[in-house]
Amino acid sequence: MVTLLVLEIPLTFREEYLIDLDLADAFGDDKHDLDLSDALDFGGGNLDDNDLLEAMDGDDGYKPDGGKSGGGALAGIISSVGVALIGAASGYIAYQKKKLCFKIQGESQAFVTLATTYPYCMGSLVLGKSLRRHGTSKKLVVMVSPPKDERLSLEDVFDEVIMVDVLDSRDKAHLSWLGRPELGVTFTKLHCWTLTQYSKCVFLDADTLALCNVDELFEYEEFSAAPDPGWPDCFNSGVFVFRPSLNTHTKLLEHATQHGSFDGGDQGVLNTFFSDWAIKDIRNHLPFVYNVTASALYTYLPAYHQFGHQAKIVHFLGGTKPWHCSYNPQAANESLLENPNKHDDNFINLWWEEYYNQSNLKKDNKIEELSFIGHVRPLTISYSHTESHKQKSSTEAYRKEMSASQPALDLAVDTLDISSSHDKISPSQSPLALTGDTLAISSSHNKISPSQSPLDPTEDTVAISASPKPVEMNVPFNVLPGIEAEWISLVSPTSEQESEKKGLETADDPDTATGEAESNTPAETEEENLAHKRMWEEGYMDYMGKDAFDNIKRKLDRFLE
Amino acid sequence: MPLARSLSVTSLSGLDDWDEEFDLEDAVLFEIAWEVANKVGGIYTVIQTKARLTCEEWGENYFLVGPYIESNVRTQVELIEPSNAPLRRTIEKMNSSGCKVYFGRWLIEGSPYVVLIDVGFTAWSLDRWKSELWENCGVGVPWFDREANDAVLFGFLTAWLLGEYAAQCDEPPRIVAHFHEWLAGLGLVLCRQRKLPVATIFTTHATLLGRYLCAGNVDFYNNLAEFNVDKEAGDRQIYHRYCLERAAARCAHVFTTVSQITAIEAEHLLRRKPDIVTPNGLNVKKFSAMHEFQNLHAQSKARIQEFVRGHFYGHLDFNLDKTLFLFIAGRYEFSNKGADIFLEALARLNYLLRTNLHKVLLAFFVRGQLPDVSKMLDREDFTMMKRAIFSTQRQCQPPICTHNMLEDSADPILNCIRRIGLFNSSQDRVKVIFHPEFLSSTSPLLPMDYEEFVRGCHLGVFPSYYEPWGYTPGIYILDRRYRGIDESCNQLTSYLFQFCQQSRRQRIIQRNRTERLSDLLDWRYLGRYYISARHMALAKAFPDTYIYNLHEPTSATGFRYPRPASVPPSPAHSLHSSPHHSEAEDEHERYDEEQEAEKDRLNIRQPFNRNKDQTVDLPEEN
Repeated sequence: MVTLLVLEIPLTFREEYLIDLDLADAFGDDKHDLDLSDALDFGGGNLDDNDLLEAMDGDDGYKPDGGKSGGGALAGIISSVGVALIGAASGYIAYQKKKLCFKIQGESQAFVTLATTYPYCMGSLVLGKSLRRHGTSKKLVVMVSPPKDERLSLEDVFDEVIMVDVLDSRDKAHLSWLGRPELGVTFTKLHCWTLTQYSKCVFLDADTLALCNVDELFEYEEFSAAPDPGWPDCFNSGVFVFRPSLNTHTKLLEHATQHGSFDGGDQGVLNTFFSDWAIKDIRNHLPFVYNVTASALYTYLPAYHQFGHQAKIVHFLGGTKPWHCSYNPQAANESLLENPNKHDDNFINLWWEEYYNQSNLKKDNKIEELSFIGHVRPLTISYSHTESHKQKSSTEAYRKEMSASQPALDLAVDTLDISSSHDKISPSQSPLALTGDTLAISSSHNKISPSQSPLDPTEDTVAISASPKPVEMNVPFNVLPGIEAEWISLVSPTSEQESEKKGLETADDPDTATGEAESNTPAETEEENLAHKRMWEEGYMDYMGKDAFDNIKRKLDRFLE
Repeated sequence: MPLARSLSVTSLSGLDDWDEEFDLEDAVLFEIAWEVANKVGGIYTVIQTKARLTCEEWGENYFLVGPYIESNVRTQVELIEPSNAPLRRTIEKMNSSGCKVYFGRWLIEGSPYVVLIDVGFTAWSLDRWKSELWENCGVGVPWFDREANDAVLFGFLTAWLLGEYAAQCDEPPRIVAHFHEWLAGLGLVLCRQRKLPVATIFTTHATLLGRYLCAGNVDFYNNLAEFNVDKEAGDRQIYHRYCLERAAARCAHVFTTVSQITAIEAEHLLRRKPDIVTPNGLNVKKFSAMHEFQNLHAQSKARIQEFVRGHFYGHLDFNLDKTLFLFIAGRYEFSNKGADIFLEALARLNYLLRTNLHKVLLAFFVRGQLPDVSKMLDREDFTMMKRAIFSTQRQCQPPICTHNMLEDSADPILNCIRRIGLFNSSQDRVKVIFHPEFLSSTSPLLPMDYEEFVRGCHLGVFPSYYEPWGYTPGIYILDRRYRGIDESCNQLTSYLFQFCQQSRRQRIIQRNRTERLSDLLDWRYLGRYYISARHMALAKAFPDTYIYNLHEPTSATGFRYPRPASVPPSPAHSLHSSPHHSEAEDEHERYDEEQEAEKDRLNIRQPFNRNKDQTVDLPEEN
């Protein structure tokens, strides 16, 4: 009974959600979003929007049925009422599961960073590692913009990897004025205000590096930042403390739209938005040691000599980033001795040391549990078109789950791209969404979902969301009878699964089947092929097995006559 | 299967027929390397010195292809418009398709044309190209290996360039593309995969795996055949690079290495026997008169002596004029570069000299000529040290190291010196000076360039373990294969001992003979192997147009010249049964250079003129 409800209502909600996304393509739909969220508020006042989404996720597997029952579009308000009903009905069970799966309450503070390009992914990785190494007790969140497969490795360090749309300021004139057109994407930074699963966050640019534990930053209030060395009445937006709030986020976007940015980047927007920062309250001024910029060192060298050793976060401001510089450990030591004034180099060398630091910084195992939820989520979106599409998605869902259940292979997850390519919404989807704790994903690439007002996830409200696991287990049963045995076998990564899986796909998905027939390595599905490639790109070749050079040679010999 | 003993260029097989009639009229040569106009390591020197000769051969149809690096271009390249019409169209086409390709002249001897490609500019294609590489070759490239990712970009861009060039030619072109090292190798693989009308050559100067294995203290040369290469590369996390390298070797029409020893290395590690060895040459600078370099030697030696006088101030109980200066130089790789063997041999030599000879030998450890790396000590140390050396009379023994070293107890050279007890005591016949800094003419301590310093010394010792190029051909050759460290040490000790026993006259003879033999290391001579490799490739790629007769090298066709004075260890006339003889240092002994040279001329036959007049002079001496 309960499951049925869960099934039906969120689907209708999703229809609504789709429409909204389409509208979102047109400019100025913020209003629309807001209306909808208001409506939802009305229905389930104290619902956590994340929970709501989870409830939706839960029904991914139900597509065939869900397609029928959810066929008619219901109004958003009705759906939200429905959600409230479910909340009442499944409260206790879900709550129990929630307790197992989530620990949100204790972890409502996070360091947030942003990576919009591949080099910045490297930067954020190094930043994350430096924070971990200095024993932060906070969560680490990275926001990335679509899609770049290398980013998967971010999950080794970050608790949450969140996809965001690149919100380009499209303010070319200003940008070129600054001579740094790449800055436009930092507008995406504003999305960090939507991370409402956290009560307080510290944003750190991906080109910063923590030199020690900086958890004490969370003692500051919104909006705290350090002065910019170029114009100390402005703050530098590389490091700041804020409280996620959809309200603030909306205001920020409106502000940006209306007033633009005087420097073409996020710093301009934020400085005009928090325009009283310079004078209002000195407690909102972060000490400079939390955002030490190399350029400042040159302008006030004696100060650097006096206080330089106190630096806690260094910010590689400007066009040349550490990853543009080459690194030679020996030279690093020598240059330190040769010229102690080259502090810039010293910091760069620190960055590289962190980059090469091999120590195991993996976050705790909690992720494994959470991945159940995370892996299913993106499908909520691909849920729109014809019956056949749904069928296909269900297969994908199944595959995803398989990947999810194999820790070693969770790279394979991005094969989802294939399925979602049929989908208009797909750009907002990404492989990244699949692994790790993806609670916030929907709220970031979809403006509706954070519709609940700034939330306070108390245990009651949380209750609704937590049904995914059992539901998921049902999925294969419903869609493809008799699969459960395989499901279990897939948990341990063995190669035998390939043939079974192939058979399964052939039956279910003609597209994939033909693709395989054309392929030269019939043993490897398209998906496995991608996973295989990914293994190489992560540096894990099976050089004693299938990647032995003899096999490569065979491939080469095909074109050598 | 042990090889012929001598592994320097002397063991090159003879190539008597040089296909002079090979018609290159409509052919073009692209030579592709990451170090074109971009100094990273030694390949730069190879390409740079070879360019003049290749330019003379190919003229306007010779193009070097390298990466565009702004700082290099500013100092080394003059950007111009391409004169070759198809190439101009090629570059225009590529530049309009999102590439940045530059054309210019490389400002080195011969002023070759260079095509420089900005790989960073096309980084947006990296994912696509990596996927293509994966589909075609089954090789992936880790995202974190920047160099390998550059290699992917560079490879695809060079293949694009060659493909576009072929398409822009009106007539079907004859293209030779010569790729150096793994960083450029992918371009070759793609040429083959796309079936471009290109004759491809791949030259490896040292294999990736060889470098890693030797650095890792494996008994490399004695285990060459035993390595599981896939595993070794994989374990060292260079599997993808190794795959790129091996794929290039596999796909090349002609595969070459730069020395016989690397040929064996390649055969085992890349699993392809090189078609031909293309040794690296030098542009040997000729002195108009033999005494010219003797003067230079005397000048430099005087300055070294001056430094030694200061260093041993108060302890100078030996005759500087009768002291031999030996040196070893190089990067700071203790055992790969052979400093371990050298020191051990010195310790043994010290004993030998103490008991047999009364000649003093001063061994220098200096760092090579790379001037850009920073110093290991700061100013303050420097002054303190100078004061210590020049103004105080010590009671203790003279120092070994010219500098106060940081972490002096961790330095492998100093530790080794401590262990073997070479402390520069007055009884020691072998004195050691360790100069841990790069030599520089502006140093207040020993104001000499590396080159001057080398001139002032009597003998350089380079018992490197891994020296795949054989770029430092020597007069004593220490084959370190098939023998243990101890045996090698003994051999080196005996060489050094023999050298110490020689009279001044004998040393001059030896030195001048070496100089005469240096012609064999000149590109004018060695360039022919490259020519041959190109012909071979053309004949393989365009069998209808070109024919190349492979000459099986036989012992009879090789060129012959007497082994240098000491291989096999010391010819009879330079050995003296009595140590007293050389102790006497017969300064008055007459040395007739002309007479000596004439002897050598008779002995050294010019291989490439063998059917012509037998009384040949060395070309540069005319």
